Amino acid sequence: MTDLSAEWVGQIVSWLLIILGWSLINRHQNDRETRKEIHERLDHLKKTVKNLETRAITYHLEENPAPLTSLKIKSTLELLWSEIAPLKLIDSDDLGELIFYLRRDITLCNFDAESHIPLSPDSRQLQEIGASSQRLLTKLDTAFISRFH
Amino acid sequence: MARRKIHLAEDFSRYPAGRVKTDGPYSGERFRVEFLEPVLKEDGCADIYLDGARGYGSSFLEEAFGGLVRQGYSVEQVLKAFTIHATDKSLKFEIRDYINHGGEE
Repeated sequence: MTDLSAEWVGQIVSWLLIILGWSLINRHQNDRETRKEIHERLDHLKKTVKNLETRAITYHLEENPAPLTSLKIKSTLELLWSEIAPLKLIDSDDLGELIFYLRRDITLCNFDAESHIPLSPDSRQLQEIGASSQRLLTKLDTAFISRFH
Repeated sequence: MARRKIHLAEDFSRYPAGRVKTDGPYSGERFRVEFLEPVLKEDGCADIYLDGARGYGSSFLEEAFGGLVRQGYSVEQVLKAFTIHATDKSLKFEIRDYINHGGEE
């Protein structure tokens, strides 16, 4: 009877070890998949932000930018929240501020047709657009690193 | 007094754009004059829903909300009267900032 119990306990322990090992490997694989997926989405987001920056700077440099361009810029700005927030990499207050500053630097001044003038390439506004865009990209990178490294 | 509900995309435009009326038909100035100032004149309050529009320019938001302070309404009165609802939290930050600094421009 004692031998049987000992054998039984041994089998249970073996199975528990197998299940524990499997769950650890599974978790590790899931983490790696999540990391890969978020990394791919971040790459896409970074391209979106850089394209937005380029498009915004071009818009401010041009004498008569197409009205459609301003609509595209605003649509892209609107997409940022819905694409970044679900990743849960950045605290929502911090993300709100970063997008606010980027939108403000691009669309507060010189954006409307009536008041638009072509800016000089070294203008302060263009520098601020670049800085706001870079702040958002840096925050995305550091948030990714701190979560997955 | 009943609390008003203003769905900007449905009640005003899905394409709000521009600061003043000369910038286009759906400017921040027009939204302020037709939707926001009447609420304050009645000493009322309103929920403003921003989802559904195809993006906002800061000049629109600044003129609509910061413009209220330049029109003589106090920061406290404006903040108390309007509750902003938006999935994009950055819009709430931005509007609050323009109300707080509306008189400075």
